[in-house]
Amino acid sequence: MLSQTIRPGEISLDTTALGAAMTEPEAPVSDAPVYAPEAGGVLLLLALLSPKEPRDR
Amino acid sequence: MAISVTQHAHLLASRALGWLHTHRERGALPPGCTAELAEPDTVYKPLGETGLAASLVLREAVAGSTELRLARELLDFGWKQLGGGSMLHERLLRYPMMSDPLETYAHYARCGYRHEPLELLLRHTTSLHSTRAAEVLPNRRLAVANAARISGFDRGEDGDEGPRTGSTGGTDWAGLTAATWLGALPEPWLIDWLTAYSMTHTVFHITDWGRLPERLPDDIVRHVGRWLPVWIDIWAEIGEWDLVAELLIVDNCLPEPLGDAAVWERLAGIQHEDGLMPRDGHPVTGDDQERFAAHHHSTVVAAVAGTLAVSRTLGTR
Amino acid sequence: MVAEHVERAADPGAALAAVRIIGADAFAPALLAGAALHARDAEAVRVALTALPASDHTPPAPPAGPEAAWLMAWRDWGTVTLLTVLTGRDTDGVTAARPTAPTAGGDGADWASWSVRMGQLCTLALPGLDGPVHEAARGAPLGLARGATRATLRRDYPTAARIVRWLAWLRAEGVALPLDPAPLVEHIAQMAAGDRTALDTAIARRLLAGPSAYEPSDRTGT
Repeated sequence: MLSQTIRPGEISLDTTALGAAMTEPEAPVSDAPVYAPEAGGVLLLLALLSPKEPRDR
Repeated sequence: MAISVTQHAHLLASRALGWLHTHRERGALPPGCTAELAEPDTVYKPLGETGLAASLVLREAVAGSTELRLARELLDFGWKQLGGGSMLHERLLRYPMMSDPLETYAHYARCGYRHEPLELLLRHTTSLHSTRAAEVLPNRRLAVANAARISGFDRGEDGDEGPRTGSTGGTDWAGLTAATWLGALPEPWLIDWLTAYSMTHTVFHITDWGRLPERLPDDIVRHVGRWLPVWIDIWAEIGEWDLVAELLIVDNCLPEPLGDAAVWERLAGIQHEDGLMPRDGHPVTGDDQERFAAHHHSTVVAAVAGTLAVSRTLGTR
Repeated sequence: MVAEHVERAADPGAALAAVRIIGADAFAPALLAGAALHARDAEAVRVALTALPASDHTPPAPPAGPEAAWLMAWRDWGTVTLLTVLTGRDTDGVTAARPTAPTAGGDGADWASWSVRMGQLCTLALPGLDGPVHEAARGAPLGLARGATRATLRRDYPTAARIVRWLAWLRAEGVALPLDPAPLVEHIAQMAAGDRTALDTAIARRLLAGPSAYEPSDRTGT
């Protein structure tokens, strides 16, 4: 039994550290979406499928 | 709370309008500019956007006499730059499938600036299936539909039974709306930056920039009402001021705007004293011409946002 | 499982601290998967609670009071309550007073900070627990949904997983929600790394599956 191997008096859990560990704050910095031209799938598709620009004559 | 929104919104709009007026020459077309317009986004688009902002100031008529005069002078200036409409006419003759002549003309026409040959040509091009069915993003299709509505071109000929327009030839607003991202009533937690702009423009065009809030379908009103505060929150947090201001315009296109005094206060605080509205959190640098290029759009948005918010909070619309 | 972790640990103090921090979630397998709660595991939780007893005084809810003390008080209350419920007996005097209710705010202007606070107490979103925190959740499904959406868009997946646990709990309670939590739980699970978040999404999935999923498919344990 656990209580036979560990006596409560032998262990002191630091209340401050415990409280801090139990407090899970949100991420301090946001990683919300911003303009990302590389994420413009439509543009890429058009580039793949559309004809090359004609050479100047 | 509502009074506070009105005050901040009025400050935002009047300062932005002042800046647009002061710097209007920077939006002049370069000498020798032809209808081909090699760089439409930087050269020609600002004239359209300033025209939009000024037209809404006049339409809402909640501004003081000074601001009304500034708006009128901005329209006079823009119309002159557009050759009294002749430049738009030439552009449409050269590129009959392009929608920008219609979209630009609509705001000026709303305020009494007319070009009859352009109108005749527009009446023709807007009636064709080819132009109506041109492959564009759904929110852009709504833009064209609204421009046609403003200008009175949205009625087809009698008996015209086009594939998407119905027997009257009028606009299938429900169909166009259903094709948008917003129309799908999508998960609010999966939205990117470009999609956010698609959403804002969808609302702008369905309601004709807040003139017709009742045209928004009920389920979309509910959807936007639930999630708009989240979108405003996350983008305000990272300083995307242009997008935040557009989201506030969306709010004022709703039948019952939510109003967020804290965000309005924040925007008014970010705006420069001279009325320039920074696009985002990056430092505003460069000479006056560079600043105009970078922050003209966001200042236009601020002018529109503030004007519509004053209208809605005063209950004049 | 929990007892073994503590008995084998080189630093039993740290291991017990971990058990104390996990708190009520240590009972999730018993509550949500029909696993038997072994007496030794219950004992490990009891020891973790007695090594540093739960607070006697009831700190005021933040922002008035310090958040760490209040959160710990609520988490300990959840652990003690479930320990009592699951072992079916008075646990040798281990008690935890019920702390003060959270401030209202779910559907008001401060929905964002309120939802983060609720997420910090997501360990209470388990069958067998109820009280003012749960009432606050029932009263503001929109605030929680907005909070989960906000956290997801900020790509703060640990926070999102915590808040979405409440949405899953509300769904299990039959409360109408302004969004479907199931795809959001999947999204967070796909995007997130870390054991804590994996635990929260696993619990959310189980809650969404409903009480019929809480029983084991075959009863081999005792």
